[in-house]
Amino acid sequence: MIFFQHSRNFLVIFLIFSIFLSFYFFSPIVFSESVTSSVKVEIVTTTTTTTLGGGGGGGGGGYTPPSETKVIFSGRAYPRSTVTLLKDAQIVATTVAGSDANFQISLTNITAGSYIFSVYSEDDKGNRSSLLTFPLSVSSGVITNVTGIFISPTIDVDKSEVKKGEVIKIFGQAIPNSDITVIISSEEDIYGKTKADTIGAYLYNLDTVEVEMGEHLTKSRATLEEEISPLSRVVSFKVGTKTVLKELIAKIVKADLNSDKKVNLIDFSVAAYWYKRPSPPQNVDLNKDGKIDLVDFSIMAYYWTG
Amino acid sequence: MENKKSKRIICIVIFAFCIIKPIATNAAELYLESSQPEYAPNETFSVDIRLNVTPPENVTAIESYLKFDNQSLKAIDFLTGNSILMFIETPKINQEQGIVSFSGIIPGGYTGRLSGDPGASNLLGKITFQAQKTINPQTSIYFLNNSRVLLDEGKEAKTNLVFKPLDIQISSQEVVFNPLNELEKIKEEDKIPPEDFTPEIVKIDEKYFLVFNTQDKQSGIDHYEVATLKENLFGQLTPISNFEKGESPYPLKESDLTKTIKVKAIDKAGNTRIATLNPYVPIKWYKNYWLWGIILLGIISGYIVYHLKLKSKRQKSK
Repeated sequence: MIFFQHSRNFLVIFLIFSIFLSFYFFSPIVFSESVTSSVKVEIVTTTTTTTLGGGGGGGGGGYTPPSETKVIFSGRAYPRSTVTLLKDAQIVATTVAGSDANFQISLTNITAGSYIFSVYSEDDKGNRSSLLTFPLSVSSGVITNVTGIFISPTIDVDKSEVKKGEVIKIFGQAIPNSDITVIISSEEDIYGKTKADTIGAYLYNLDTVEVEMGEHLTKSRATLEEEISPLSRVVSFKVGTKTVLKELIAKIVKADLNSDKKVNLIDFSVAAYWYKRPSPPQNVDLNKDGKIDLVDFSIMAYYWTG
Repeated sequence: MENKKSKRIICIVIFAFCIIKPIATNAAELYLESSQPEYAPNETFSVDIRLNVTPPENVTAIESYLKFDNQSLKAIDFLTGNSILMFIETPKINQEQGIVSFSGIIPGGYTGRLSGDPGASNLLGKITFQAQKTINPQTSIYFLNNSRVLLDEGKEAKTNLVFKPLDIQISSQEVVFNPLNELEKIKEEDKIPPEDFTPEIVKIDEKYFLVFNTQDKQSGIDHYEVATLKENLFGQLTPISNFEKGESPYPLKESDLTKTIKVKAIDKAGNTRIATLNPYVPIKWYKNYWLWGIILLGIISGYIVYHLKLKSKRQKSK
């Protein structure tokens, strides 16, 4: 009887141990954003060599044309939007998505090696999506298909400051008919749901009656047929005592050091010049700590446009 | 009584697990790889520096300091071919202190390898070492604690960041026959010039600079050279200065802005790619000697024709 009771205790302890071990081991995966936000990119590698049969009797030799090295990117952006492809941080190709938001870009004249490719799109209001970046090994004489690219939505707000209790519009463009989740940072994050229309435009009216005063950030993601896009860029707004409409001024691109509305090699070179030099200009010092170091370059990499 | 005891045990177990730190997967991992664990003295080998990232972490910048025993190993070269990094500075080898350092960014960020990717697209760089004759058969290459990995907009990846060292065994038997070592092999096989590129001129701190960057997917870029050229009277480009070694951003004189500039990218195997930049500032018409040459030729031709016609008229009238 006593043995049975001890065994029962050990069994209970073992079960609790197993439950908690599972919880602690799997919780970063279960509750991580990666489960719900991973972009599926499928790489199918095929060879292009074809052999033509010889003519006449006796089975003559065949001709094998040289294989081409090619990469084909396909996915979804916004209807009739310009899609830009970067190879190793520099623009190599652009295309215009169809009315169904599908696009395809082929890259030839490429040598074998490892590359970092990035894709982004621009909506009809000139807002850019976040950069979708992925590494890829290209083999010689092989066509590589990269599919399932899902461009994140664009996002903007109609007010830079909104009087508490009033409504602020959060809007942008995504894949047509996709479900949009809008995330607003607050004491606890606020999640709003809306739907993109047939041209991909979405609008979410946020009632700020329950949003605390102060600065907030908002971002969005699209979901379509169980596919989830990456998160959009982040836009800020303030909940205060007055309403200030967002001015239609030229959009300031963070880390754009030469004010050409791009963040690319030129901005990188400007920052490289000031790297470890004293008294850098304020616009180059992206984190305002009085020096140009790795953190400034990290911020630049995050806002890279090519 | 027994029930109370059981309940007490259960409570203690629950409390104990509540304070145990959750086992989480690593956010980022820097590790080293070599083709074999043992090398003979005088043998040359490569060590790959690689990065693993667990989504949704997004690595945007890396600064790394690698320590090695300078009595057991000699660091020969740092190859940047196929690196996913855009280097902020040329990687440095300090043989005296036994440190290799490099820093760079990944524009757009890096969230890990894709499933289905046929290759290992996570290479940061490759260091070529030569094993030395040493009394220590066991040596190690490891990351110093001041190495950093930054996420998103400059966030430090302090938690769940792992640095994995590499242990190397040096045998007592020296290499008598020196086969083509890994570095020489890479250079021997590299017949492809660096990627095409376009230099640009930018103004920084009231001065003009030439900026350029390209990649070489085989042996990696060795260095760049810059030359300025000018058009002669016949419209041909003639060099004003020979190609000189230079780094981006390359300082320019005001007078360089009216000249054609050529940038030569040279990889470790000696293959070259030249990019040409037309004059940034068009030459003023009165400084265009070619134009003056045409005008002068026109005047001379006109005078000769006029003189010949005049002569012919005089002869006819006679």
